[in-house]
Amino acid sequence: MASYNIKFPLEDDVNTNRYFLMNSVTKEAYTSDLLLLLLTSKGERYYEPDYGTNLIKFIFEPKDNITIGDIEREIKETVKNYIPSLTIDNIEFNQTGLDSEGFPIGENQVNVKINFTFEEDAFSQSGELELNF
Amino acid sequence: MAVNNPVSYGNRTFTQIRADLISLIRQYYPEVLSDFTDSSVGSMMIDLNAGVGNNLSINTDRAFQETQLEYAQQRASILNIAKNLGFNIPNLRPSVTVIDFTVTVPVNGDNPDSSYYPVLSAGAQVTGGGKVFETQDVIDWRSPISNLGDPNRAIIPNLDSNGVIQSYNVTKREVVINGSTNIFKKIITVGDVTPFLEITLPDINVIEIEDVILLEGVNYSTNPSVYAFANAPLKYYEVDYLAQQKVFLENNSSSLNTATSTSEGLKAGRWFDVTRKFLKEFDTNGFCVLTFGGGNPDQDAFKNGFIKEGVSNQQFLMNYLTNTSLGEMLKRDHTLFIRYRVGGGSSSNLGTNVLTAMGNFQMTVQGSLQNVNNLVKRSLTVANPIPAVGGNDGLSTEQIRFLIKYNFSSQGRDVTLTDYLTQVYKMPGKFGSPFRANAMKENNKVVISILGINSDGSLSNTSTTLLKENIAEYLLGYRMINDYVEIRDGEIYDLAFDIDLYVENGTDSQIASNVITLVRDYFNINNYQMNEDVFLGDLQREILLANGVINIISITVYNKVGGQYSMNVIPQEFANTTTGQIKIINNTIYSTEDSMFEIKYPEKDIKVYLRKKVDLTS
Repeated sequence: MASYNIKFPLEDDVNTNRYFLMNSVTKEAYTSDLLLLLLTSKGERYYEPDYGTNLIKFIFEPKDNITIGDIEREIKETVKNYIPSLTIDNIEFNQTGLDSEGFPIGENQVNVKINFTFEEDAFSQSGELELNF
Repeated sequence: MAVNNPVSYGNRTFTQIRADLISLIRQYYPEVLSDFTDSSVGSMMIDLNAGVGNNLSINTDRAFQETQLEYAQQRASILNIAKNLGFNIPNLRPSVTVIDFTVTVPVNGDNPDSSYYPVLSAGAQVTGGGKVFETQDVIDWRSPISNLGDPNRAIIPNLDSNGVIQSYNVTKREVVINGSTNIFKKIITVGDVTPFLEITLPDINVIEIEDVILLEGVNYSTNPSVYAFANAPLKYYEVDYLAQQKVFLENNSSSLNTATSTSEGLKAGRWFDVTRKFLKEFDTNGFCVLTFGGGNPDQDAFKNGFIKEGVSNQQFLMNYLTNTSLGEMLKRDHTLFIRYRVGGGSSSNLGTNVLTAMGNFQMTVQGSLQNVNNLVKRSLTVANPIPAVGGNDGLSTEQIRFLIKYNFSSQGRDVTLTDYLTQVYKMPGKFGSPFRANAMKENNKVVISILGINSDGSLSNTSTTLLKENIAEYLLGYRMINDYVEIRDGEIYDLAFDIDLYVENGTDSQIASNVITLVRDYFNINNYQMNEDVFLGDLQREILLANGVINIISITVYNKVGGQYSMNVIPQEFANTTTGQIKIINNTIYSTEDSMFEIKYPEKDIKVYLRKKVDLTS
């Protein structure tokens, strides 16, 4: 089956005995791209120093609405530059309660849910990515 | 069917290689990877590969660039290129100045008592401003000439209150060079008897190597004397490259070494074959490295081995057993002494009259009275009348780059006339140096025309045979094999001037005096080279700038010949053959290739006539 790109985080493809598990579904391909983009720090990418985000710098910032606003702006700007075919619809910040896997969100944690849409042929598809800071 | 290759192997940059890799994947693996946006993991890996390829290309380019003289950036690369092309890079340069060495000697009749004239040994130290300067040669007060061939002795009487001469201050003006002498000692063991042994001197500011000798034995508690250095049987000579077979040295056996020439500081020189030689280089950290030869001068192997076995063709075997064309290795159980000078750098440049004290020196006075000898020695005073200049901190990378080019193009040979001329001036001073020289081609031979200088500072064209022989011998090492070189005395054209001026005040002798001084300075021989024409327009312009001069009525130029003057007659046509008045053409006095102009006696050969305004109405 044709694949789009390599799944991120990297995994062995135990079924085909290939080195990398590949994404064959567009939404998964976009999710991998988005995850790689958001988890790459600026300057980390060889020969593309502007690629990535500065999300890591927010680790020691106060857990308030100002920081949350900055994170949201950072994600939207970066995605707009590097995955222009993806539209960020909503970014949800949860500071209490449980994450999608049922673990409680810690006192020093922020749970971020990113809802995105993209065009595939004539259809508009949507997806979601969840990150814990 | 021809396959369209998506990869161009000539591509070297990140962008090109990345595009190649994407093109390759699109052509051969379209089913595996089709997402080439920056955010895909595949793109990240392609970037990684393209980046590594780009870096390799840059490093390959850079490595190649560092082998090219024009583009090399690192000093170490430039030094390596210089080494490959046989250019020996000089290190720090010492400053140079002149010192007035003054002693007081007793009176003998109307003159100084020359029996009390001292002799100062070479290497005498003059100090001041925290720096040490040394003389290069013996300074002998008996000689009126310096070691470089210039008149340099001044005698000034010391008068008492009654005007009676009590003594004379006799001053010798000699060149001194910044730096002090150190001696490096190394015992040569079995491990040191190796081809092309390199010895690094411990000082970083080495200016030059003076002597390298090898003495038998290893138990030396003191350093050899200067005499021992000069006369050691195993002496090593500095060469530009180890394959150099000859060096220009003093020829003590020459019949040209007369008492006169020796008193003038001139020594006969000759090219000698040498096998004990070394190369002097500076490493990238500035340390001086001496590289000795690779041949084995020891014939024991020949005597004990081959002869015993019945092989007796010594000449044939020596080519293999004792081939010292690249120099000799050092000998075991000997002690190597290297005498070298350290100092130099821009900090060695000093102001006037800073060098006023003596350091270590040896002076001998051989008068009949010992107490007077001691008085003469104690009377020695020194001062530098001009600043010490010329010291610098070595060549910059760019300077080395350009010098390598010049050095490589000339390759130590005299090809053009300029090469010959340059080489004449490069001859070591102790073998003599002409005041002016010019090289010309005449009947298919190279003629070097030289002029000297008299003790009164005027030009001389009666150079010694020794100087001419030395120049001819020295050029032998550089001239082309089919060039015939002749050294001959140049011609001196003595000039006299009658200058008629219209001035503000016709009786003002100061104006005349100023103009005479101006013309004398204009014709200062130090400002002229051989084959340099005199443009009277320049002289007229300068005279017109003199205070009180309103106009030049006429300038008449004469050629003085015979008697006290030179016997040479200017080739330019005469306006009056009786007076020697030169017919001025194009307001110029033309020189010839082997001649130079001079006003020998300015005080009588420059006549200035002053005229004031004529009242036409009266």
